[in-house]
Amino acid sequence: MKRVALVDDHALFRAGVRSELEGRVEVIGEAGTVEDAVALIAETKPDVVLLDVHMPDGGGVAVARRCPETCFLALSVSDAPEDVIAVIRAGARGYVTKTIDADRLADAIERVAEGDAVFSPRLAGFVLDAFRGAAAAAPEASDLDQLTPREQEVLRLIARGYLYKEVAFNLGISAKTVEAHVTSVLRKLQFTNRHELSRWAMEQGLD
Amino acid sequence: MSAPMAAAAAGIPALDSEHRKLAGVCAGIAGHYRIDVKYVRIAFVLLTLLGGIGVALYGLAYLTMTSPTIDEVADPTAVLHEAGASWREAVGAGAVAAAVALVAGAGWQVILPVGVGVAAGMVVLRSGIAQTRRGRVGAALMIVGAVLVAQALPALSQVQSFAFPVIVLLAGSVMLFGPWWLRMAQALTAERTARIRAQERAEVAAHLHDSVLQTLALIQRRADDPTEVAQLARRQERDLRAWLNADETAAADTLHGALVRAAREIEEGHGVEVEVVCVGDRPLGDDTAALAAAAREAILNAAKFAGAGRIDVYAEASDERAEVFVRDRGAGFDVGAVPADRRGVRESIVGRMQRHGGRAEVRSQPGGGTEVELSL
Repeated sequence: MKRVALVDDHALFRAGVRSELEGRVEVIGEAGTVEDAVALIAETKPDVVLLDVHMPDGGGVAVARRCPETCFLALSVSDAPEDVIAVIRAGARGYVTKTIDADRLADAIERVAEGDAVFSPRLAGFVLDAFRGAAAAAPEASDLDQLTPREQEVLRLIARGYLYKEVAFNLGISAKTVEAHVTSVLRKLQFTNRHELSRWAMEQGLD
Repeated sequence: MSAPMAAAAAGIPALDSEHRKLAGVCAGIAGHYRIDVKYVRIAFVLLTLLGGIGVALYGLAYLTMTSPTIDEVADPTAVLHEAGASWREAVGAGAVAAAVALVAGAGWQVILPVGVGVAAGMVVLRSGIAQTRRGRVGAALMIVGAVLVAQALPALSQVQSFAFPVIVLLAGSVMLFGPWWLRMAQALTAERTARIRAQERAEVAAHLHDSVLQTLALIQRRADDPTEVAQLARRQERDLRAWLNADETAAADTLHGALVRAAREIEEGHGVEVEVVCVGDRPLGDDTAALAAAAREAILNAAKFAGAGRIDVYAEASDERAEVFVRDRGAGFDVGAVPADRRGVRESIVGRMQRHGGRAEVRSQPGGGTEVELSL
């Protein structure tokens, strides 16, 4: 079982997630503040940290920045693009909303632990929006600033609510290839300088 | 809301005696505006090289800046009260001085200024206004101004000769009372902000009372019905989110706005979760409105018949084309063998799209969920 740490300033929410994940993953610790989270991660070295985006003293972004070697799955009540982009750029490997059901959450934890990226339909839609028209508008833009047609197809299917294996079936490729595309998109999302992303990052005081 | 911040930023920087080289002017400015002190110092040095402006500015800054420890502004009303109480002594001293000057054989040009100057000096001494550095500078300016006015009095007809003395008097009064005025203005702003805050809090309380508390009460009473509870919670969440974000999307007259409105309405009516993701957008023209209406029918269908908890709606729109996908993971059905009673519903999707030059495709299989693809 994957060893998971919960970081959220709401004790009630931590308790809820803990009981939901019972038997699916091993919850090895909880933290309610940025400082506690950093200490907990350093001490227990969890496989995956479920990270709340909104916490006092810098939130999930601060935790992710201070533990660069850790695998984070961001969990938030907010689906505002600026929150998503901030925590992804800080190093989280996935982003899901708190209303996600237990099966999907456990699945997402497995995925990020395996090194894959986890995109909710909303995040996929947002990424498509942010990179939209990049190829047409600036052909000379660097590879990091645009998505390949295949990556766009993959994201579009995820945005339509398809699971990875359904995406793979639909495009006639293997599930591993789908994962490779999504991971590549995540990397672009973290390193691109496209101005929409840069602007959000700047407003969050990240760049 | 930005008023208090603006007022704080507009405040006069304080001398910084802790990091000072000379009087702490540069360190004070640097600290107040959050810049590196060395740039401030370089600026003053450069300005000094420019014909000594830097020295003059430094002096002016020293006089105007507050010192955080010793320069607490005295309450000017108390000072004025003291000054009023001592006016007899002041007039007396002034009269004596004038008399001495008269006896010494001076002309009016000297007698008047001497009398006024001594009287003003007496007021300053008695009122305790000169206890702080700022008070001393202000009082000195006031005395000089009074003396200059007195000196100009004999030549009453030449109005322009009063200009300089009046400026000096004004400078003195700004020096004496300026910080107090500033403080009054700040207190006023702070008071207004506090009032606005209180109003906002009352508004929030009213909203929470009408919505969240009602819902929580309902949830407690329906605790035995999980579906109902989930639906109540979901509706309340949407409502609160919309209220917090002032919800511009849902009000917009665009494809995205129309889809979000349809999703809300169906969520409330059928207890399902409808997730709308939109890439790009376009205004709600004739054809786009038909597309939104067809999408609404598709969502409604899924909510009614699929039995799935969640429906994914994905739209992609540009000026040239628009597509909407409605997907559920519910029961599904055999597209080839649609029962007669559902044909009408399908007409309202397929037929409507065709009338507006678009296309609708329904993909489904029993047990595999349904996806409706609409395009313009």
